[in-house]
Amino acid sequence: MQNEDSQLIIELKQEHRKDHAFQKLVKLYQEKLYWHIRKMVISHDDTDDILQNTFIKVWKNIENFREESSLYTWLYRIATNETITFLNSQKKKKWLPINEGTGYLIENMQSDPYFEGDKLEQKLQRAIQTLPEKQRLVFNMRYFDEMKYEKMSEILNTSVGALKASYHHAAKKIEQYINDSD
Amino acid sequence: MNELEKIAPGLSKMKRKLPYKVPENYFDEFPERLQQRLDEEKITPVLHKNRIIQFIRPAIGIAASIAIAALIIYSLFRDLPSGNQTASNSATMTEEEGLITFIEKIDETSFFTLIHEPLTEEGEELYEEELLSYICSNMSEYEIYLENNN
Repeated sequence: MQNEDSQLIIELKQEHRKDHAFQKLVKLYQEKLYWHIRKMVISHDDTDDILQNTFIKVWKNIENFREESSLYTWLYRIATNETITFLNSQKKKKWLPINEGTGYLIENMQSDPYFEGDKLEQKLQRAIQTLPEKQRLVFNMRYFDEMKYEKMSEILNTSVGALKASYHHAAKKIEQYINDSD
Repeated sequence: MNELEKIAPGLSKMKRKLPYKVPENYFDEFPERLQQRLDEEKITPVLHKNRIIQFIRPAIGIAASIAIAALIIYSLFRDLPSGNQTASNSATMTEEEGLITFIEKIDETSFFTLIHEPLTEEGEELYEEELLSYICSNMSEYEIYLENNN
């Protein structure tokens, strides 16, 4: 994968190969990035917008990519930042404090045509949405993506210890929420 | 996962399934839709530059107008008539009125010096020359201009 990524980066930085290489990049990473975003914003339409914005940013900034991290890490980081920017803008529109959880997204969940969970899954999602954004990111990446803490640390620019603590707190809060709502 | 079993045993037993679905063919069609948007974005940077120019243009226009106005004002005062021209322009005023106006502005010492000097023909010429010389050195061109126009 690393060799494939290195080759891809070389092609992306060459003007006459950029278009073709970029299409390859999109096909390789679109699904992973889509679900990473979707877990945070819930709505498919919003996810679609953010995913497009993410890839456009990648297109515009590929020449500036210094390869200090892997391509995947870099893409994930851009997607995360775009997601947080979107969520903060939504909060501003609703006059909510920036550090407020995104429980308001739950309101749209059940009416969303692309939601197909049972009651327990709904409850779990409601619980996750009560977490602060960063903690929610950590929880999603660890619980659903089973990402290693070291990889998470690169993407979120947070120490492994802090991430472990964040995940532990998140898991406890979620379990408490589910038990209390029974 | 052992980690989760210790922290949240109930959660560790739950299925790790996301309750969301994706529209049919979404990932097949996404690259094409993205490319369309990219093509639009490629045009936008040019429009953005034009927008900057359009924004700056009025400011440049205003700055240019001010500069031209300043230049005109400067050249107006620079081209004001000299002392000699002022003397001939004073034909609009009588000589007596001109003298009176001049005397009102002169200081005491200079005034008494002037009246006590003999008025020979030569002196008269000199007197006029002295007057002109005095006006030129003691009054600014702008003051002379104002005096003639009032």
